[in-house]
Amino acid sequence: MVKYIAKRLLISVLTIWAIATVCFFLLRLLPGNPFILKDPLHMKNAERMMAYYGLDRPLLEQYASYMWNLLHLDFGYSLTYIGRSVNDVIATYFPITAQLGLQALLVGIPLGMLLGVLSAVFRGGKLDYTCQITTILLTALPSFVLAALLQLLFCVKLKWFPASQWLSFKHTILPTFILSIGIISSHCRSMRTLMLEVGKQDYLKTAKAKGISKFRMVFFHQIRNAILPMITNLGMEIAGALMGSYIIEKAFSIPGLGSYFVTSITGLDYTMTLGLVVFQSVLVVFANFLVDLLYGVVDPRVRIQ
Amino acid sequence: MKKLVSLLLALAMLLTSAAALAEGSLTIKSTEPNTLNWTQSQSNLDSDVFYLINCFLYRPYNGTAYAEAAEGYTVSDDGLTYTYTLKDGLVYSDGTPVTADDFAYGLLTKIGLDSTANFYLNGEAYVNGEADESEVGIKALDDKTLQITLASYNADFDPELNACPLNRAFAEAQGNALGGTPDNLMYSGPYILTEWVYGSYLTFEKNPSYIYADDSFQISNVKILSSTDSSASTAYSMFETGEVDVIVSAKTELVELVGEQYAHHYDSSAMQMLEFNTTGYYYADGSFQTRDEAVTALLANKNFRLALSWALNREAIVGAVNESGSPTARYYGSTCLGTTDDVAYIDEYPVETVSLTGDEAKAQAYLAAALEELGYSSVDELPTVKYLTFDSEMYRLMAETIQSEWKRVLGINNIEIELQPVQSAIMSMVYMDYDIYYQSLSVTPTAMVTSLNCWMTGGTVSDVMGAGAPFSSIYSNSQFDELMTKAATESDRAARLSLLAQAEQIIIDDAVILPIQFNGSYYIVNDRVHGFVQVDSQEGLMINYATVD
Amino acid sequence: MNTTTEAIKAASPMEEEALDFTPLTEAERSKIQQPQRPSTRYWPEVWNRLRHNPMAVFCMVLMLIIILLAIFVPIFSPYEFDATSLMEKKQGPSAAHWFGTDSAGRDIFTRVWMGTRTSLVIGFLGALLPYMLGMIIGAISGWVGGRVDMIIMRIVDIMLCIPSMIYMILILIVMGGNAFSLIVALAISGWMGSARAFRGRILQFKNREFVLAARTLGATPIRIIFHYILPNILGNMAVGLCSAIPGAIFAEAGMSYIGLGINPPATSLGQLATDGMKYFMTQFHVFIFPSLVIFLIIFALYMFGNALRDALDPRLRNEDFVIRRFRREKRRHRAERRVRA
Repeated sequence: MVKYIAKRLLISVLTIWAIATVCFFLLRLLPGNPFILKDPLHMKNAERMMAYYGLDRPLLEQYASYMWNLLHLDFGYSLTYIGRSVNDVIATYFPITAQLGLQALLVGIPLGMLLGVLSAVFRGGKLDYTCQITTILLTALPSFVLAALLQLLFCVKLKWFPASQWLSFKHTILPTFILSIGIISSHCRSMRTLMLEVGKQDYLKTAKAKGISKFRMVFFHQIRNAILPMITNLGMEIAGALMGSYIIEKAFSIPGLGSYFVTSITGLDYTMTLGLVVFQSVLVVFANFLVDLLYGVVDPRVRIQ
Repeated sequence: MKKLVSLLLALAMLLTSAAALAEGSLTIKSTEPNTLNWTQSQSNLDSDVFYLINCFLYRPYNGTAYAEAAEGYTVSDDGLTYTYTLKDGLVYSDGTPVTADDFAYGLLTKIGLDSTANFYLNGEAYVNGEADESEVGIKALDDKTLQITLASYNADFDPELNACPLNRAFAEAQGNALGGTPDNLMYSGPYILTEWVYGSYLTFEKNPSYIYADDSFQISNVKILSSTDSSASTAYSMFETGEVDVIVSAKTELVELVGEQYAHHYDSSAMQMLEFNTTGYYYADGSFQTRDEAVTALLANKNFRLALSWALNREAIVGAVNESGSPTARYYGSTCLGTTDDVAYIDEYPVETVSLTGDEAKAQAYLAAALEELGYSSVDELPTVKYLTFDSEMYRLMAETIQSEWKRVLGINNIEIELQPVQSAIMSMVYMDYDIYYQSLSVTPTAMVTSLNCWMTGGTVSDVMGAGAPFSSIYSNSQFDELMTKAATESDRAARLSLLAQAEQIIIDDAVILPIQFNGSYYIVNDRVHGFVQVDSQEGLMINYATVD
Repeated sequence: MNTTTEAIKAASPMEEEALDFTPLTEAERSKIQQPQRPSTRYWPEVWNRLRHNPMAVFCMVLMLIIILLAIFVPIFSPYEFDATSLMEKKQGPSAAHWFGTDSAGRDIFTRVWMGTRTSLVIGFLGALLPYMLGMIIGAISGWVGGRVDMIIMRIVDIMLCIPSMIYMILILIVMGGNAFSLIVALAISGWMGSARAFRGRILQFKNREFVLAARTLGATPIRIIFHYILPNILGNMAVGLCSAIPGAIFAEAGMSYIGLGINPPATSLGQLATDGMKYFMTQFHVFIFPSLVIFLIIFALYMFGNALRDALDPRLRNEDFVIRRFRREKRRHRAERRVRA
């Protein structure tokens, strides 16, 4: 077990290193200078700033110093938001994005699973169709369109919720709802499929033949076995949710990491983009790692292997 | 007797104003500053905050400037050396006195960023790292005296400098962290930044140690909401519920929603124009390459460019694309002043231009002439021309509209639009990898000469590639150069403006650049707030004499 | 009730004529009830089941209408989709402009269907291409195994960790914003998932008896994959594709929302919806029509995907029948009970 964990840790670290390296060079392929503003009068200043931040040095030298700083967990200073380090930006915005993502997961996963179980149990019935159609109706609009419509309805017309910003719990309701829709529908769908898959297994037929109650069968056999394959995706899902959605953050003016991500790529804020990518990959890699360990605990069959 | 009455009246007024002193709070919806690091700020989004937290040698207000930190200045006989004396009692909010050296240091760090370095003696050399600080014409003679020496006579140098102080020891100790949080700043201005929640809001509290704390900036708390919204619904509902008092840079839809009576408009100095790459070169892989010859010949044809210019109904286009903009066919905007302060330069010095509504017949005639000169029998044979622009919404819609109008009026199908993010687009522009480029330039009223002489042979905009290029400049006209050189040293305002007008006429006639519009902006103020003005987004939030009910 | 017993009787003639070994006559044979479900081949059966699912039919018709409109409206419309008409800007829906005009006076009806064209092309190719790419890479990885598999899977792991936004933005900036580069971007950022899934499938089938048999007979790996394994997972792939198309359409819309859509004059539904947001409160029509078309496309595809999945699953075939009969009888019992009461 210790050997397995050590090996996985090593692979994780190597993966993160590879990601940082690939992204470091990928970003430099982009044409442009991060300090240029719309006015070409400031071109000279932009070049001076490049020199100030050491961006005019040979690429390999920059890479070496970036990696050295990364070893010390220092992501460097943002090139757009001058005076703020990337560590600081992550420390300020990550809690917000994480809160939004976790809220959406907490609403989305149980609700999606519940709906999936219900529509599998009552397959072909009214409930099944209602579930399918509502989840599809809600997911059939791009989230920014849905956000705009909900804002118009609930914020401007009904005035139930504030339209944007991130100041109190009330502000979080609409974005959480929109973010959780996708999670609900995907979990509902895969739960339904998995439940039906499991329902066809021989051991369930045996159990049925032995005459256990439907309730016992669904709860103690079907659900338990249907959840297992979903756990494998959990790592990615949690990491994805924690990194936020740019579109929802933009639609609700939420100061989260997601918006920094996009503006930093298009604005050529190399250090910021790299920092965020490395941070996210750490999240993903370790979430996957933990999920794998968890899987071993939950599923005895994996433990034997 | 009369005197006594007026004195009493004045006293009474003073008392009432003292009673109203430092009251109320104001919430402004604006955008997030990029940085509050004064030494590296290049964005005019930041100036809103700097206006509130810094004191100025001369504070700009509503088109003029008044002496704030400066008692006054004296000029040497040759007109090159300005000596400023500071007022007594200038302190930062933590009690540190504001000295002349703070102003000198602030200016020195700033000149590298706003392209005014060449104004000062050895300024250019200093920013390029070739001269020492002691050699630059910006010096603190003692704690109260600041001396500025110009490199040569400069018409654009405004002696009523809007310089801010920056404490040298503090700034150097902070390094890159300067301006990152409220704690990494020093406050010499009317307000102290108390909280900065990134992406949400900034709150300000009145600074009691500000020199004019009793006379201006009476609003005790200011809050700037700094989140950017994708649709008008957010701002609208906030305005309706009174959550915000002032919305700057309001979208036109918002103006329609809240009603015209709350909306105010100003013209900014950002001029947008089409620029043609007539040089026939671009820069790639470390060397200059030639562009497609047919395209170069086409763009170098003046009749073709005139056809493109006359085909545009600027009024209709700007009305459709950017309702807050004002169409223009001239280089200078309405904010540039003429010989006196109450007449606009553009009214005083008219220049012959294309009609703002365009002229389809004329455009077609120019096109026919161009086709004949170039030996094309129809417009279908024209080579593909690349129109480069930013990928933001207004720029895209502008490109689509212009492309469609050219197609409608002239029947040309050869314009291909290429959108790029701002930084990439400018890099392509610098490397001249475009045929037509939609340029945005600031034509500042306070720097009329600098704004135009960037188009001289070897000028900062005209010659973006610098030395080593196989062509002299994007735009090069010896007559224009001559006029601009004269204008730069002409100290008589009327004579200078007339030289500028002649130069403007030449560059407009040559049609290498086609001015399209001056970007403007709406700001919305509710009934609670009185006395809020905004003249240009670059100058800051002018709440100097604003009050709230 | 009567008919059933008769049928059973007819189906089991053995009881009465147990010792009669003479072949049945035509008349006798026709008396014997056919098996309840005629044996059919796989795909015709799938089609049959789809045909009888009203939702699936509705979705197919809807998609067909949308595709036809997208093809023909821009051709036959009196307006060109990119022709501005500055005097007719910001008009509401009317007889001349069915969906109204936008802020530059362009006819939204024509623009919407032109945008639908782009969105559909991006949707279909942007879903198909990553799928194909992933399939090929996954097949190599799964079939060859060993070190190759290890390396490919590590690359997949690494690429999955890098946010897809990075590839998308990078490719769009470098290659320019057009439908082609968007599709390439989608392919490069989206192949990893399907590679993983396909590799799993290959591994699952690699050691099955029929594959082993084919291998012993000397079939090439390509033949095995295409002839023996692919048919087994084609259904799954079709379902996967149906839900990948909306994904690609959404990705395009999202990129437009960020400001990295396709270059003008071309337009897409996402671009139109994004543009509409600017005047969303005062000119609702500019915003709602493209959004509505996106909604219809995605809805139709998702619903169709669901129906297809049910139709494809051969194991559900009998079950459906059993369930339906079970329900019918349960209902009848209940009705009878009610009548009795």
